[in-house]
Amino acid sequence: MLSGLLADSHLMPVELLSAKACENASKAGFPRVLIYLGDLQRQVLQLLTGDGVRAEDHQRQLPIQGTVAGRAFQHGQILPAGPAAEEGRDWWVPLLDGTERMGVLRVTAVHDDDRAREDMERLASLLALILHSKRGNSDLLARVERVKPLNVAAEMQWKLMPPRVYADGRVVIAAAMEPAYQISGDAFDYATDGPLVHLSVFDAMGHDTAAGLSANLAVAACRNTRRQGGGLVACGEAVEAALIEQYDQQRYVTGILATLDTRTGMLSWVNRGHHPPVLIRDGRWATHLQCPPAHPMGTDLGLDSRTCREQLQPGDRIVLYTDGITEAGGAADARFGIERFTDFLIRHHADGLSVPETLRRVIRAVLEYHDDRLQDDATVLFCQWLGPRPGPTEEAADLGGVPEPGRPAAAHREGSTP
Amino acid sequence: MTSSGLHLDVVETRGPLAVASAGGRMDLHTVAGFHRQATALIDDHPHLILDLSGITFCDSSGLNTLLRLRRHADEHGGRLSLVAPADRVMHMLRLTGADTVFPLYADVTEAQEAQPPGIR
Repeated sequence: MLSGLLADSHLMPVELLSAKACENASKAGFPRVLIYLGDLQRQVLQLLTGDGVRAEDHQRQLPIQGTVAGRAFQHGQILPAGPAAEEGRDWWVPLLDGTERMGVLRVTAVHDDDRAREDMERLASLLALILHSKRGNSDLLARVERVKPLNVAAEMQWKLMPPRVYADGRVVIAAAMEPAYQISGDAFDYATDGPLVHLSVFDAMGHDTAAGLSANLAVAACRNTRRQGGGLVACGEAVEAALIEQYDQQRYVTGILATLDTRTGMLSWVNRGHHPPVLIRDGRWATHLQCPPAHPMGTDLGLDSRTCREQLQPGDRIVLYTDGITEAGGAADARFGIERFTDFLIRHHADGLSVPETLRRVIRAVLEYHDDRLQDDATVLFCQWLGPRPGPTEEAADLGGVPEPGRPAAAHREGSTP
Repeated sequence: MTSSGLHLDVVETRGPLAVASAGGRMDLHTVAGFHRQATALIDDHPHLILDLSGITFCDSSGLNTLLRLRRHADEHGGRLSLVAPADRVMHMLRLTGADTVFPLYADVTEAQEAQPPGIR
Protein backbone atom coordinates (compact mmCIF):
# COMPACT_ATOMS: atom_id res chain seq x y z
CA MET A 1 0.00 0.00 0.00
CA LEU A 2 2.59 2.54 1.13
CA SER A 3 5.21 1.79 -1.48
CA GLY A 4 2.64 2.14 -4.28
CA LEU A 5 1.49 5.49 -2.96
CA LEU A 6 5.08 6.61 -2.46
CA ALA A 7 5.93 5.73 -6.05
CA ASP A 8 2.85 7.57 -7.31
CA SER A 9 3.60 10.65 -5.24
CA HIS A 10 6.54 11.87 -7.33
CA LEU A 11 4.48 12.78 -10.37
CA MET A 12 1.11 13.62 -8.94
CA PRO A 13 -0.87 16.82 -8.62
CA VAL A 14 -2.56 17.11 -5.25
CA GLU A 15 -5.93 16.86 -7.03
CA LEU A 16 -5.15 13.16 -7.61
CA LEU A 17 -4.04 12.42 -4.06
CA SER A 18 -7.35 11.17 -2.64
CA ALA A 19 -7.99 8.92 -5.63
CA LYS A 20 -4.46 7.50 -5.52
CA ALA A 21 -4.70 6.99 -1.77
CA CYS A 22 -7.94 5.01 -2.21
CA GLU A 23 -6.48 2.99 -5.09
CA ASN A 24 -3.42 1.94 -3.10
CA ALA A 25 -5.11 1.59 0.28
CA SER A 26 -7.96 -0.56 -1.02
CA LYS A 27 -5.42 -3.34 -1.64
CA ALA A 28 -4.68 -3.30 2.09
CA GLY A 29 -8.31 -3.37 3.20
CA PHE A 30 -9.10 0.35 3.20
CA PRO A 31 -11.53 0.87 0.32
CA ARG A 32 -12.20 4.54 1.02
CA VAL A 33 -9.95 7.38 2.22
CA LEU A 34 -11.03 11.00 2.58
CA ILE A 35 -8.67 13.82 3.59
CA TYR A 36 -9.82 16.65 5.85
CA LEU A 37 -7.50 19.55 6.63
CA GLY A 38 -7.71 21.98 9.53
CA ASP A 39 -8.20 25.65 8.72
CA LEU A 40 -5.65 28.27 9.79
CA GLN A 41 -7.64 29.13 12.89
CA ARG A 42 -8.01 25.46 13.83
CA GLN A 43 -11.77 25.79 14.12
CA VAL A 44 -12.98 23.58 11.26
CA LEU A 45 -11.85 20.62 9.17
CA GLN A 46 -12.42 20.93 5.43
CA LEU A 47 -12.59 18.18 2.83
CA LEU A 48 -9.80 18.04 0.27
CA THR A 49 -11.61 17.57 -3.02
CA GLY A 50 -10.12 16.26 -6.25
CA ASP A 51 -10.56 13.52 -8.81
CA GLY A 52 -13.22 11.14 -7.52
CA VAL A 53 -13.93 13.24 -4.43
CA ARG A 54 -16.70 15.74 -5.05
CA ALA A 55 -17.72 18.13 -2.29
CA GLU A 56 -21.45 17.41 -2.78
CA ASP A 57 -21.02 13.68 -2.06
CA HIS A 58 -19.53 14.15 1.40
CA GLN A 59 -19.55 16.31 4.50
CA ARG A 60 -17.53 19.24 3.27
CA GLN A 61 -16.83 20.98 6.57
CA LEU A 62 -16.72 19.73 10.18
CA PRO A 63 -16.29 21.89 13.27
CA ILE A 64 -13.33 20.91 15.49
CA GLN A 65 -15.34 21.69 18.60
CA GLY A 66 -18.07 19.17 19.36
CA THR A 67 -17.48 16.52 16.66
CA VAL A 68 -15.82 13.10 16.80
CA ALA A 69 -13.55 14.13 13.92
CA GLY A 70 -12.60 17.21 15.93
CA ARG A 71 -11.85 15.07 18.97
CA ALA A 72 -9.55 12.87 16.91
CA PHE A 73 -7.79 16.07 15.82
CA GLN A 74 -7.61 17.60 19.31
CA HIS A 75 -6.42 14.52 21.16
CA GLY A 76 -4.41 12.80 18.42
CA GLN A 77 -6.46 9.62 18.70
CA ILE A 78 -7.94 7.25 16.16
CA LEU A 79 -11.70 7.27 16.79
CA PRO A 80 -14.61 5.42 15.16
CA ALA A 81 -16.53 7.53 12.65
CA GLY A 82 -19.58 5.28 12.69
CA PRO A 83 -20.92 1.90 13.75
CA ALA A 84 -19.37 -1.32 12.47
CA ALA A 85 -21.10 -2.46 9.28
CA GLU A 86 -20.83 -5.42 6.97
CA GLU A 87 -18.36 -3.71 4.64
CA GLY A 88 -16.25 -2.51 7.56
CA ARG A 89 -16.07 0.53 9.75
CA ASP A 90 -15.15 4.19 9.26
CA TRP A 91 -12.44 5.78 11.41
CA TRP A 92 -11.10 9.27 12.02
CA VAL A 93 -7.31 9.15 11.90
CA PRO A 94 -5.15 12.15 12.93
CA LEU A 95 -2.96 13.57 10.18
CA LEU A 96 0.37 14.80 11.52
CA ASP A 97 3.23 16.44 9.69
CA GLY A 98 5.99 15.79 12.22
CA THR A 99 4.03 17.04 15.20
CA GLU A 100 2.08 19.70 13.33
CA ARG A 101 -1.55 18.73 13.21
CA MET A 102 -2.74 19.03 9.62
CA GLY A 103 -6.18 17.48 9.88
CA VAL A 104 -7.75 14.02 9.91
CA LEU A 105 -8.41 11.16 7.51
CA ARG A 106 -11.72 9.40 7.27
CA VAL A 107 -10.77 5.82 6.49
CA THR A 108 -13.06 2.87 5.82
CA ALA A 109 -11.38 -0.26 7.21
CA VAL A 110 -12.51 -3.77 6.35
CA HIS A 111 -10.72 -5.21 9.37
CA ASP A 112 -10.93 -4.03 12.95
CA ASP A 113 -7.73 -5.07 14.71
CA ASP A 114 -4.40 -3.69 15.92
CA ARG A 115 -2.80 -4.29 12.56
CA ALA A 116 -5.49 -2.24 10.79
CA ARG A 117 -5.01 0.62 13.25
CA GLU A 118 -1.28 0.58 12.76
CA ASP A 119 -1.71 0.55 8.97
CA MET A 120 -4.15 3.46 9.10
CA GLU A 121 -1.64 5.42 11.16
CA ARG A 122 1.13 4.69 8.67
CA LEU A 123 -1.13 5.70 5.79
CA ALA A 124 -1.83 8.98 7.60
CA SER A 125 1.90 9.57 8.17
CA LEU A 126 2.71 9.06 4.51
CA LEU A 127 -0.22 11.20 3.31
CA ALA A 128 0.90 13.97 5.67
CA LEU A 129 4.39 13.87 4.17
CA ILE A 130 3.01 13.95 0.64
CA LEU A 131 0.65 16.81 1.50
CA HIS A 132 3.57 18.67 3.03
CA SER A 133 5.63 18.21 -0.11
CA LYS A 134 2.81 19.67 -2.24
CA ARG A 135 2.06 22.61 0.04
CA GLY A 136 4.41 24.98 -1.66
CA ASN A 137 2.90 24.62 -5.10
CA SER A 138 -0.82 24.08 -4.70
CA ASP A 139 -3.52 26.71 -4.49
CA LEU A 140 -6.04 23.96 -3.79
CA LEU A 141 -4.22 23.13 -0.54
CA ALA A 142 -3.90 26.81 0.34
CA ARG A 143 -7.64 27.26 -0.23
CA VAL A 144 -8.74 24.24 1.77
CA GLU A 145 -6.88 25.64 4.78
CA ARG A 146 -8.92 28.83 4.84
CA VAL A 147 -12.60 29.51 5.40
CA LYS A 148 -12.44 33.23 4.67
CA PRO A 149 -10.12 35.53 2.75
CA LEU A 150 -6.70 36.40 4.18
CA ASN A 151 -5.33 39.91 4.17
CA VAL A 152 -2.06 40.43 2.30
CA ALA A 153 0.04 40.44 5.47
CA ALA A 154 -1.45 37.11 6.57
CA GLU A 155 -0.72 35.68 3.11
CA MET A 156 2.92 36.68 3.60
CA GLN A 157 3.29 35.70 7.25
CA TRP A 158 1.89 32.16 7.07
CA LYS A 159 4.32 31.47 4.26
CA LEU A 160 7.17 33.00 6.21
CA MET A 161 6.80 31.25 9.54
CA PRO A 162 7.80 27.67 10.44
CA PRO A 163 5.12 25.05 11.28
CA ARG A 164 3.23 25.81 14.46
CA VAL A 165 4.42 22.72 16.30
CA TYR A 166 7.78 21.03 16.67
CA ALA A 167 8.94 18.38 19.12
CA ASP A 168 11.91 16.12 19.70
CA GLY A 169 13.40 14.59 22.85
CA ARG A 170 14.83 17.95 23.94
CA VAL A 171 12.11 20.51 23.31
CA VAL A 172 8.47 20.94 22.48
CA ILE A 173 7.69 24.14 20.62
CA ALA A 174 4.23 25.39 19.76
CA ALA A 175 2.99 28.70 18.41
CA ALA A 176 -0.33 30.38 17.79
CA MET A 177 -1.26 33.62 16.09
CA GLU A 178 -4.59 35.39 15.92
CA PRO A 179 -6.47 36.80 14.16
CA ALA A 180 -5.14 34.13 11.80
CA TYR A 181 -6.85 35.57 8.74
CA GLN A 182 -6.09 39.25 9.40
CA ILE A 183 -2.52 39.57 10.64
CA SER A 184 -0.75 42.89 10.78
CA GLY A 185 2.81 43.03 12.04
CA ASP A 186 3.44 39.95 14.19
CA ALA A 187 5.70 37.03 13.31
CA PHE A 188 7.32 34.17 15.17
CA ASP A 189 10.32 32.09 14.21
CA TYR A 190 12.22 29.12 15.58
CA ALA A 191 14.81 26.70 14.31
CA THR A 192 16.98 23.90 15.59
CA ASP A 193 20.71 24.16 15.02
CA GLY A 194 22.69 21.24 16.41
CA PRO A 195 22.21 21.40 20.18
CA LEU A 196 20.79 24.94 19.93
CA VAL A 197 17.20 25.99 19.48
CA HIS A 198 16.57 29.55 18.30
CA LEU A 199 13.33 31.25 19.24
CA SER A 200 12.02 34.70 18.38
CA VAL A 201 8.89 36.80 18.21
CA PHE A 202 8.53 40.12 16.42
CA ASP A 203 5.90 42.82 16.57
CA ALA A 204 6.08 45.45 13.85
CA MET A 205 4.38 48.76 14.61
CA GLY A 206 1.18 49.63 12.81
CA HIS A 207 -1.68 47.53 11.51
CA ASP A 208 -1.18 47.88 7.77
CA THR A 209 0.50 45.91 5.00
CA ALA A 210 3.73 47.79 5.69
CA ALA A 211 3.68 46.28 9.18
CA GLY A 212 3.55 42.86 7.52
CA LEU A 213 6.46 43.82 5.28
CA SER A 214 8.49 45.03 8.27
CA ALA A 215 7.88 41.74 10.07
CA ASN A 216 9.02 39.78 7.00
CA LEU A 217 12.12 41.92 6.78
CA ALA A 218 12.84 41.34 10.47
CA VAL A 219 12.53 37.55 10.28
CA ALA A 220 14.59 37.34 7.08
CA ALA A 221 17.38 39.62 8.36
CA CYS A 222 17.53 37.70 11.64
CA ARG A 223 17.68 34.29 9.96
CA ASN A 224 20.21 35.51 7.45
CA THR A 225 22.57 36.72 10.18
CA ARG A 226 22.01 33.64 12.34
CA ARG A 227 22.77 31.30 9.46
CA GLN A 228 26.06 33.10 8.89
CA GLY A 229 26.99 32.42 12.50
CA GLY A 230 25.90 35.76 13.98
CA GLY A 231 24.80 35.86 17.62
CA LEU A 232 21.66 37.34 19.16
CA VAL A 233 22.98 40.88 19.44
CA ALA A 234 24.20 40.77 15.83
CA CYS A 235 20.78 39.50 14.69
CA GLY A 236 19.04 42.43 16.38
CA GLU A 237 21.49 44.84 14.81
CA ALA A 238 20.99 43.31 11.35
CA VAL A 239 17.23 43.73 11.69
CA GLU A 240 17.72 47.32 12.76
CA ALA A 241 20.00 48.02 9.79
CA ALA A 242 17.59 46.42 7.30
CA LEU A 243 14.65 48.42 8.66
CA ILE A 244 16.52 51.71 8.65
CA GLU A 245 17.68 51.09 5.09
CA GLN A 246 14.10 50.53 3.92
CA TYR A 247 12.14 52.87 6.15
CA ASP A 248 14.59 55.52 7.38
CA GLN A 249 13.42 55.33 11.01
CA GLN A 250 9.78 55.69 10.06
CA ARG A 251 8.97 52.14 11.17
CA TYR A 252 10.15 49.90 13.92
CA VAL A 253 9.86 46.33 15.11
CA THR A 254 10.10 45.13 18.71
CA GLY A 255 11.09 41.59 19.54
CA ILE A 256 12.69 38.96 21.71
CA LEU A 257 15.56 36.98 20.21
CA ALA A 258 16.51 33.91 22.17
CA THR A 259 18.64 30.79 21.97
CA LEU A 260 18.25 27.74 24.18
CA ASP A 261 21.25 25.45 24.59
CA THR A 262 19.50 22.12 25.04
CA ARG A 263 22.64 20.48 26.45
CA THR A 264 22.63 22.70 29.52
CA GLY A 265 19.24 24.40 29.62
CA MET A 266 20.86 27.83 29.38
CA LEU A 267 18.53 30.35 27.77
CA SER A 268 20.19 33.41 26.26
CA TRP A 269 18.07 36.28 25.08
CA VAL A 270 18.07 39.82 23.85
CA ASN A 271 15.20 42.21 24.45
CA ARG A 272 14.57 44.75 21.72
CA GLY A 273 11.87 46.89 23.29
CA HIS A 274 9.51 43.98 23.84
CA HIS A 275 7.59 42.23 26.62
CA PRO A 276 10.04 40.01 28.50
CA PRO A 277 9.54 36.22 28.28
CA VAL A 278 7.51 34.44 30.93
CA LEU A 279 8.99 31.38 32.64
CA ILE A 280 6.62 28.71 33.98
CA ARG A 281 8.25 26.35 36.45
CA ASP A 282 6.96 23.15 38.05
CA GLY A 283 3.73 23.66 36.10
CA ARG A 284 2.69 25.96 38.92
CA TRP A 285 4.10 29.42 38.97
CA ALA A 286 5.10 31.97 36.42
CA THR A 287 7.64 34.76 36.47
CA HIS A 288 8.70 37.48 34.04
CA LEU A 289 12.37 37.27 33.14
CA GLN A 290 14.21 40.55 33.41
CA CYS A 291 16.58 42.09 30.89
CA PRO A 292 17.04 45.81 30.27
CA PRO A 293 15.60 46.51 26.83
CA ALA A 294 17.58 47.88 23.95
CA HIS A 295 15.59 50.20 21.70
CA PRO A 296 13.07 48.83 19.17
CA MET A 297 14.78 47.72 15.97
CA GLY A 298 14.67 50.47 13.36
CA THR A 299 14.64 53.42 15.78
CA ASP A 300 18.42 53.87 16.08
CA LEU A 301 18.18 55.26 19.62
CA GLY A 302 21.66 53.99 20.45
CA LEU A 303 20.82 51.96 23.57
CA ASP A 304 23.14 49.07 24.39
CA SER A 305 21.90 45.65 23.37
CA ARG A 306 22.93 43.03 25.90
CA THR A 307 22.47 39.29 26.16
CA CYS A 308 20.74 38.13 29.33
CA ARG A 309 20.86 34.54 30.58
CA GLU A 310 18.57 32.29 32.55
CA GLN A 311 19.36 28.74 33.72
CA LEU A 312 16.34 26.54 33.00
CA GLN A 313 15.42 23.31 34.76
CA PRO A 314 14.15 20.33 32.77
CA GLY A 315 10.41 20.78 32.27
CA ASP A 316 10.56 24.59 32.37
CA ARG A 317 8.37 26.37 29.88
CA ILE A 318 9.23 29.66 28.23
CA VAL A 319 6.48 31.81 26.73
CA LEU A 320 7.19 34.61 24.27
CA TYR A 321 4.19 36.75 23.41
CA THR A 322 3.05 39.98 21.81
CA ASP A 323 0.74 42.87 22.72
CA GLY A 324 -2.49 41.31 21.59
CA ILE A 325 -2.33 38.66 24.30
CA THR A 326 -2.35 41.21 27.06
CA GLU A 327 -3.59 44.41 25.57
CA ALA A 328 -6.11 43.61 22.89
CA GLY A 329 -8.61 45.99 24.42
CA GLY A 330 -12.25 45.46 23.55
CA ALA A 331 -14.75 48.30 23.62
CA ALA A 332 -14.30 48.66 27.38
CA ASP A 333 -10.52 48.43 26.98
CA ALA A 334 -10.56 45.34 29.14
CA ARG A 335 -7.30 43.43 29.20
CA PHE A 336 -7.03 39.71 29.09
CA GLY A 337 -3.83 40.08 31.02
CA ILE A 338 -0.69 38.00 30.95
CA GLU A 339 -1.53 36.62 34.42
CA ARG A 340 -4.84 35.28 33.23
CA PHE A 341 -3.13 33.95 30.14
CA THR A 342 -0.43 32.03 32.02
CA ASP A 343 -3.08 30.83 34.43
CA PHE A 344 -4.99 29.34 31.51
CA LEU A 345 -1.81 27.74 30.19
CA ILE A 346 -1.01 26.16 33.54
CA ARG A 347 -4.55 24.92 34.11
CA HIS A 348 -5.05 23.39 30.65
CA HIS A 349 -1.62 21.84 30.81
CA ALA A 350 -2.54 20.16 34.06
CA ASP A 351 -5.46 18.54 32.21
CA GLY A 352 -2.90 16.38 30.39
CA LEU A 353 -3.56 17.86 26.96
CA SER A 354 -0.83 18.07 24.35
CA VAL A 355 0.92 21.41 24.02
CA PRO A 356 -0.60 22.34 20.64
CA GLU A 357 -4.09 21.54 21.89
CA THR A 358 -3.50 23.57 25.07
CA LEU A 359 -2.39 26.52 22.99
CA ARG A 360 -5.37 26.16 20.66
CA ARG A 361 -7.73 26.33 23.62
CA VAL A 362 -5.94 29.22 25.31
CA ILE A 363 -5.97 31.28 22.13
CA ARG A 364 -9.66 30.40 21.74
CA ALA A 365 -10.22 31.77 25.24
CA VAL A 366 -8.41 35.00 24.40
CA LEU A 367 -10.59 35.42 21.31
CA GLU A 368 -13.79 34.70 23.20
CA TYR A 369 -12.81 37.12 25.93
CA HIS A 370 -12.68 39.80 23.25
CA ASP A 371 -15.85 38.69 21.44
CA ASP A 372 -13.75 37.49 18.49
CA ARG A 373 -12.60 41.03 17.80
CA LEU A 374 -8.92 41.43 18.48
CA GLN A 375 -7.59 44.94 17.87
CA ASP A 376 -4.00 43.82 17.78
CA ASP A 377 -2.23 40.64 16.73
CA ALA A 378 -1.94 38.12 19.52
CA THR A 379 1.01 35.76 19.14
CA VAL A 380 2.40 33.14 21.49
CA LEU A 381 5.55 31.11 21.04
CA PHE A 382 5.89 28.41 23.65
CA CYS A 383 8.95 26.26 24.31
CA GLN A 384 9.37 23.54 26.90
CA TRP A 385 12.83 22.24 27.62
CA LEU A 386 12.75 18.51 28.33
CA GLY A 387 16.43 17.65 28.58
CA PRO A 388 19.61 17.18 26.53
CA ARG A 389 18.82 14.04 24.52
CA PRO A 390 17.40 14.53 21.03
CA GLY A 391 16.01 11.00 20.52
CA PRO A 392 12.27 10.31 20.74
CA THR A 393 10.78 9.92 24.21
CA GLU A 394 7.35 9.13 25.52
CA GLU A 395 7.22 12.55 27.16
CA ALA A 396 7.92 14.38 23.89
CA ALA A 397 5.34 12.22 22.10
CA ASP A 398 2.70 13.03 24.75
CA LEU A 399 3.43 16.74 24.79
CA GLY A 400 3.63 16.93 20.99
CA GLY A 401 0.37 15.01 20.60
CA VAL A 402 1.70 12.08 18.57
CA PRO A 403 -0.94 9.30 18.32
CA GLU A 404 -0.12 6.08 20.17
CA PRO A 405 0.27 3.67 17.23
CA GLY A 406 2.36 6.17 15.28
CA ARG A 407 5.15 6.48 17.80
CA PRO A 408 8.62 5.22 17.05
CA ALA A 409 9.51 2.05 18.93
CA ALA A 410 12.02 3.86 21.13
CA ALA A 411 9.33 6.26 22.32
CA HIS A 412 7.28 3.40 23.72
CA ARG A 413 9.94 2.68 26.29
CA GLU A 414 9.92 4.95 29.25
CA GLY A 415 12.32 7.87 28.77
CA SER A 416 14.74 5.87 26.62
CA THR A 417 16.78 7.27 23.79
CA PRO A 418 18.54 5.31 21.08
CA MET B 1 -11.20 67.93 20.97
CA THR B 2 -10.96 67.30 17.25
CA SER B 3 -12.81 64.49 15.51
CA SER B 4 -9.61 62.45 15.47
CA GLY B 5 -9.77 62.05 19.24
CA LEU B 6 -6.22 63.34 19.64
CA HIS B 7 -5.51 67.02 20.06
CA LEU B 8 -2.55 69.31 20.52
CA ASP B 9 -3.05 72.62 22.32
CA VAL B 10 -0.29 75.21 22.34
CA VAL B 11 -0.08 76.66 25.85
CA GLU B 12 2.67 79.20 25.30
CA THR B 13 5.51 80.03 22.93
CA ARG B 14 8.57 82.11 23.68
CA GLY B 15 11.40 82.30 21.14
CA PRO B 16 12.68 78.78 20.48
CA LEU B 17 10.56 77.34 23.31
CA ALA B 18 6.99 76.09 23.09
CA VAL B 19 4.80 74.44 25.70
CA ALA B 20 1.95 72.31 24.39
CA SER B 21 -0.41 69.78 25.84
CA ALA B 22 -1.67 66.65 24.14
CA GLY B 23 -4.86 64.79 24.98
CA GLY B 24 -6.85 61.81 23.72
CA ARG B 25 -5.88 58.51 22.11
CA MET B 26 -2.59 58.16 20.27
CA ASP B 27 -2.99 55.34 17.76
CA LEU B 28 -2.67 54.53 14.08
CA HIS B 29 -5.88 56.39 13.26
CA THR B 30 -5.13 59.60 15.13
CA VAL B 31 -1.41 60.26 14.90
CA ALA B 32 -1.11 61.59 11.33
CA GLY B 33 -2.73 65.00 11.95
CA PHE B 34 -1.09 65.29 15.34
CA HIS B 35 2.30 64.57 13.85
CA ARG B 36 1.87 67.28 11.18
CA GLN B 37 0.78 69.84 13.75
CA ALA B 38 3.58 69.06 16.18
CA THR B 39 6.20 69.02 13.41
CA ALA B 40 5.11 72.49 12.32
CA LEU B 41 5.32 73.69 15.91
CA ILE B 42 8.87 72.30 16.24
CA ASP B 43 9.88 74.02 12.97
CA ASP B 44 9.26 77.35 14.71
CA HIS B 45 10.05 76.33 18.29
CA PRO B 46 12.51 73.41 18.34
CA HIS B 47 12.52 73.26 22.15
CA LEU B 48 9.13 71.68 22.73
CA ILE B 49 7.76 70.77 26.13
CA LEU B 50 4.93 68.33 25.56
CA ASP B 51 2.47 67.65 28.37
CA LEU B 52 1.17 64.09 27.94
CA SER B 53 -1.01 63.91 31.05
CA GLY B 54 -4.16 63.95 28.91
CA ILE B 55 -3.19 60.95 26.76
CA THR B 56 -5.58 58.08 27.51
CA PHE B 57 -4.14 55.46 25.14
CA CYS B 58 -0.86 55.03 23.27
CA ASP B 59 0.03 52.21 20.89
CA SER B 60 3.13 51.55 18.79
CA SER B 61 2.11 54.23 16.29
CA GLY B 62 1.87 56.70 19.17
CA LEU B 63 5.34 55.85 20.41
CA ASN B 64 6.65 56.05 16.86
CA THR B 65 5.21 59.55 16.55
CA LEU B 66 6.96 60.67 19.74
CA LEU B 67 10.25 59.19 18.47
CA ARG B 68 9.89 60.95 15.12
CA LEU B 69 9.14 64.27 16.82
CA ARG B 70 12.16 63.76 19.05
CA ARG B 71 14.33 63.29 16.00
CA HIS B 72 12.78 66.30 14.27
CA ALA B 73 13.55 68.49 17.30
CA ASP B 74 17.13 67.19 17.41
CA GLU B 75 17.63 67.96 13.74
CA HIS B 76 16.48 71.52 14.39
CA GLY B 77 18.91 71.98 17.25
CA GLY B 78 16.20 71.66 19.85
CA ARG B 79 14.86 69.05 22.25
CA LEU B 80 11.56 67.34 22.89
CA SER B 81 10.78 67.11 26.61
CA LEU B 82 7.90 64.98 27.88
CA VAL B 83 5.83 65.92 30.87
CA ALA B 84 3.71 63.71 33.12
CA PRO B 85 3.10 60.78 30.77
CA ALA B 86 0.02 58.83 31.86
CA ASP B 87 0.60 55.25 33.09
CA ARG B 88 -0.10 53.65 29.72
CA VAL B 89 2.36 55.92 27.97
CA MET B 90 4.97 55.44 30.67
CA HIS B 91 4.55 51.67 30.42
CA MET B 92 5.22 51.84 26.69
CA LEU B 93 8.25 54.09 27.19
CA ARG B 94 9.73 51.72 29.79
CA LEU B 95 9.05 48.57 27.78
CA THR B 96 10.91 49.95 24.78
CA GLY B 97 13.75 51.61 26.68
CA ALA B 98 12.55 54.95 25.29
CA ASP B 99 12.21 56.28 28.85
CA THR B 100 15.99 56.60 28.83
CA VAL B 101 16.19 58.77 25.70
CA PHE B 102 13.50 61.36 26.45
CA PRO B 103 13.94 64.04 29.07
CA LEU B 104 10.98 63.29 31.39
CA TYR B 105 9.51 65.71 33.90
CA ALA B 106 6.77 65.57 36.47
CA ASP B 107 5.28 68.94 35.50
CA VAL B 108 5.70 71.82 33.07
CA THR B 109 7.46 74.08 35.57
CA GLU B 110 10.11 71.45 36.21
CA ALA B 111 10.58 71.01 32.46
CA GLN B 112 10.90 74.76 31.94
CA GLU B 113 13.50 75.04 34.67
CA ALA B 114 15.53 72.25 33.09
CA GLN B 115 15.80 74.01 29.73
CA PRO B 116 19.28 75.27 28.81
CA PRO B 117 20.08 78.88 29.68
CA GLY B 118 18.85 81.28 27.05
CA ILE B 119 15.90 79.07 26.18
CA ARG B 120 13.91 79.64 29.38
